Amino acid sequence: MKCLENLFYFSNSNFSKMISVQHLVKIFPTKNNFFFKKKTDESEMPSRANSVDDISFECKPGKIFSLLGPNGAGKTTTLRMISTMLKPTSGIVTVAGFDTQKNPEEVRSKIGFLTGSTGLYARLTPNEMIKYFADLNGLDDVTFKRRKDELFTMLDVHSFANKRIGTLSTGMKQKVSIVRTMIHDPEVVVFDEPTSGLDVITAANIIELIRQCKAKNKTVIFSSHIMEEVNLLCDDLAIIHNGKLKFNGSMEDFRLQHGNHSLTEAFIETVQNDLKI
Amino acid sequence: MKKIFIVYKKELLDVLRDKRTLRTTILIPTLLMPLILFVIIKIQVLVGEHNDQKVMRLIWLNENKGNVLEKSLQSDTMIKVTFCNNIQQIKDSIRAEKADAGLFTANDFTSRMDSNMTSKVQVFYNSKDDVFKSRLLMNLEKIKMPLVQQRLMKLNLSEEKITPFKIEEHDIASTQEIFGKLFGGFLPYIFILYSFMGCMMLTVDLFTGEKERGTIETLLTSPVNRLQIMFGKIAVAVTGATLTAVLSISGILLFVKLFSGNDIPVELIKVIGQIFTPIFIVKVIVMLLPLTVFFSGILTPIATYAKNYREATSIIAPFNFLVILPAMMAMMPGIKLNLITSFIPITNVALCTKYMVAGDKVGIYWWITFASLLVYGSLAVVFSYRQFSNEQNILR
Repeated sequence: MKCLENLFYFSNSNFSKMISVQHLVKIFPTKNNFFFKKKTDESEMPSRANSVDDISFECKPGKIFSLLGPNGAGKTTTLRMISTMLKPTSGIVTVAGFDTQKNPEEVRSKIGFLTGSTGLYARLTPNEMIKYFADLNGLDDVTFKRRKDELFTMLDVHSFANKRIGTLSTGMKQKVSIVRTMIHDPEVVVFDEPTSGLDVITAANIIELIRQCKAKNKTVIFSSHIMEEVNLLCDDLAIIHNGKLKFNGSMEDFRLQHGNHSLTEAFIETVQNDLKI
Repeated sequence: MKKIFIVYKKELLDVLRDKRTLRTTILIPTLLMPLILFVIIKIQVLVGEHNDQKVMRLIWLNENKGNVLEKSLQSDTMIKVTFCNNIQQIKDSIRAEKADAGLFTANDFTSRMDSNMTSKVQVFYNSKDDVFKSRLLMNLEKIKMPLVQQRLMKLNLSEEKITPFKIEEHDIASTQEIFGKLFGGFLPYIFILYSFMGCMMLTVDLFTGEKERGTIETLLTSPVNRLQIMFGKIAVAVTGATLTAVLSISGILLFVKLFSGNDIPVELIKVIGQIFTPIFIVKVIVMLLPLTVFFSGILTPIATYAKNYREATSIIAPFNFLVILPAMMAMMPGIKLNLITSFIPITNVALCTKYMVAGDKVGIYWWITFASLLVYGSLAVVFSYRQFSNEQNILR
């Protein structure tokens, strides 16, 4: 795990709220097929899985913010809106001071995005793939070579840097994913269920990466439904259920609110209160 | 522009390493085309030779034994004559493929001939397989000619006396024009189909493949906008599809080069050399570029919408007919390149190529074809962009 130390430069962000999410709403139109499109019936939408209904929270540099919720709660939708993949139906999201709708490219240049199921270009080598993303991020040759060399050395990628990604093991692929996410030294790192489907050792690498991001004063937001991970890492927490925000505050406050209960019990209690309502 | 090139470069490298894409875009058009042509021509030659060497089984209802036909036909070693008793037997034998052709000569055959009257010879055949019909007619013609001469001599008449006028045909079409008529429609049909196939494979791999492999999220969170991504990918599809079309033509040329002198007449080789000039090739490629943009523009929304390769190809399958039909239109007799047809996408390219192959001038119609395809291609790309920007499609 030591290898991940000094992976990044310190973030010297001036923003106290690196990510600001204000009254975020996302309504998905009714599903359609390619030839026949149905009209959206918005009255049905709030109950639909993955929709987001008036969510607000903030993420600060040097803190790990966790989005917690059962499957289909709207965690991925929220993270996709933060990373500009989806447009909010209403509400405002800013990242490093940039509005995700008005300045999506600036936002994307500030973030690194990683999920447990992130795919890689199997026909390319790690060298080629990292160069591609460095080029897209506008890294000059000198910076690219320096960053690549540092990251490859730290994660021991050199030995398989010229092999086709399709031939690599899951652990090796995850290392390439990490390099890809961090090559441009992003100020904000978005992790969407980053350990989902990974073995224990590979998942541990990701946990360490998240810790290192925090240590380097980066803003980390990650979604998970694994309580142990949240307990281990997070400073601030938001619980989403059926697209609605059920809790938003520090981890400390959450623990205090739920007394002697375990995090899992506290989470279930929060979600079940909603079900009773 | 720089980012479009970055996407283009990466996608090109990526698809060039895909065996499936290489097979469809390079290997099949370059090698399969010559192979198909070779097999077709070889089969035709073999079938022709086989039929020429085959003894014709002739069933004959001859009510007038010992007539002039009997002697000639029976002496021909390439004909095996079997006599029968009624016409139904002739028909049944040909239907049952026990005979290749049939004859009926009535009992007054010789007497009518001797009285300078016209005798009737009834020929029976099955038009499903009428190779033997022409052989039999040729044989009968050979027997008839000296008989006509004999009659004329008997009547003391020269051939001119019974020939009020003689028809002399002068075909002013050049060999290139004849070639154009025969192959001019077929050639564009082949490369249009190949360019569509190449475009389809690449577009599906570039757009649907990105979704299927789970790399789309990574790309969408990078500082490159969707228009740049789409342009980079479409540029690769256009490059590949154009290359496929060019290779399919090269495949035909390769075939001609390899088999010239054997089964292909030297004159035809000369004509092909006259047709495939650098100007012809440039003109075809310039037409193909907006056509492949148009194809890619139509296919991108589908490839963006589909979750996987299977879904994409199942949606695209009916579109094959939309490409085949207008391309086939150009092969139909009577369909000409004019102000209307030069605006019909695909048909216009096929007709322009057909005309150019035949050595006919395309003039303003080539420009109309090119300009209209540019407009259709641009509209298709705009439509594609709307679909590619639709988050419901791209993250489906």
